[in-house]
Amino acid sequence: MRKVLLISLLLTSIVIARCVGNLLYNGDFETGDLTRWIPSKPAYFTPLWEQMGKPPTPPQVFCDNAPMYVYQIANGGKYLRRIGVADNCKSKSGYSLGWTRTGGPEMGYPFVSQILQVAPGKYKVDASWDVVAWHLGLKDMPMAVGGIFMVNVDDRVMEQTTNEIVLRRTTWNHESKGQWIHKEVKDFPIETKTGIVEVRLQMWDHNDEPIPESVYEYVAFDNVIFKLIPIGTGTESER
Amino acid sequence: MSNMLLALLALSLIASPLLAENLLYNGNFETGDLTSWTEAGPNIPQWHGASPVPAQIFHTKSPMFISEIFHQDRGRRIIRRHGMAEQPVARYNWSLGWTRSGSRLMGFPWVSQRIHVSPGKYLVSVKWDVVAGSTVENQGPQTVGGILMVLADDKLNACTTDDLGIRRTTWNNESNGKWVTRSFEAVPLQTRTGYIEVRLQMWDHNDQDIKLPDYQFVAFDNVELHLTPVGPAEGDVKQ
Repeated sequence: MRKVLLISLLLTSIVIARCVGNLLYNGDFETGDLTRWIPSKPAYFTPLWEQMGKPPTPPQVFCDNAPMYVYQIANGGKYLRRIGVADNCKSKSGYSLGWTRTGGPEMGYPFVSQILQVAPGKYKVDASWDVVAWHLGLKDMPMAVGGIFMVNVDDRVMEQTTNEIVLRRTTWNHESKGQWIHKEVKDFPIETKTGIVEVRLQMWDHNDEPIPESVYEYVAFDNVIFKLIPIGTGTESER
Repeated sequence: MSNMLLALLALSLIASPLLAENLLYNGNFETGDLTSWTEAGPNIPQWHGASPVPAQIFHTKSPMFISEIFHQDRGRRIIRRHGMAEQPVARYNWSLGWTRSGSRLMGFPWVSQRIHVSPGKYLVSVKWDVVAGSTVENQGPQTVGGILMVLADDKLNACTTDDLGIRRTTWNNESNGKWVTRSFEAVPLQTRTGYIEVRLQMWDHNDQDIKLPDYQFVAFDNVELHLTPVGPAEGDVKQ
């Protein structure tokens, strides 16, 4: 029994030790692709996805030489197609991650996630990221489109939602105004019973109206850093 | 016996006009996406090789990006956007294509559409537009080609460039980076199961890496398939 406890403790120590520094790989998207990030799409979430809508506009890893495309949702979500180049959204540095949308609003939630395995327990979150959100047609409308930084744990990981479960920070178009801004969270307490933690970047398309072809909305992220500082193990009732 | 022959003749007369229509949906890619086409990749059972460069539906206002296959220091292989591909220009509105720069190591990039008809012998007629070329100066002949294939029965999804049914290749030295219209008529094909695959494939026959910003490309448009029934199938059914 002692041996088992010792091994458990050792494993915990190793995992916690790994918590030092940025836990995300490719948080700056400098690989130029979605390495380590899991995009939301029907293949991953059927049948849950079917309840939540059509495939979302795709995540794009872009740079200034190869900017994002403007994706149009057509025929009630039946078609998802490129209709132009999103010149208005420049990358923050090197490669960035983003989404664009014009046309109909029929889609599921566009997000990408990294799933981390740490030791069950209590942590403080230190995180920072760069984000931009803008709607070229609704410049004066607050909360038309936003970029969500989200953290979920345990059985709430990969949930199809924009709701705040553990940690959610949204940067709206009226705050960003189409400019990259730096956001951060310090010492935010979280607890995981299983050790599974999701870090999610999501486009919150809060505008239910169709967007005419001449304009589009976009959200992008870059330089995402996520650190966990252990402050204790799980509660007695969880063991 | 004469009644049976009459019945067969009547059946073929009824079936011919129906099958004389284009049996492909979205063969001109005017939905702006891959509706009705399936993109090959590690998701298909017969697949072998690394992930290929992605198929792109492009438009004059949203040209293809240059897909670079890149090997990082630790051997990790990624495919990323690197600039916009000025060539080729879409044929009409939307076209389908691939670009490749960087490493040559990848599986076969193709999209296919599967149709189901009555088992039997057919005469196959196909018409399509295709372009193949490279921005590399003095590129040799047959370094990149666009393959149109028609396969049946157990050859469906065969991960190959071999001629297992009907294969027509348009090489860069024939297209010279310009759109050409190709066709063939009344080529016999037999299907015992009724399943026929029409495939559009990039044949990357270049055993050299390509240095950015150069790249090679293949694109297709306006693909039409017509089948004329000529008789019942012969031999055992192979699924």
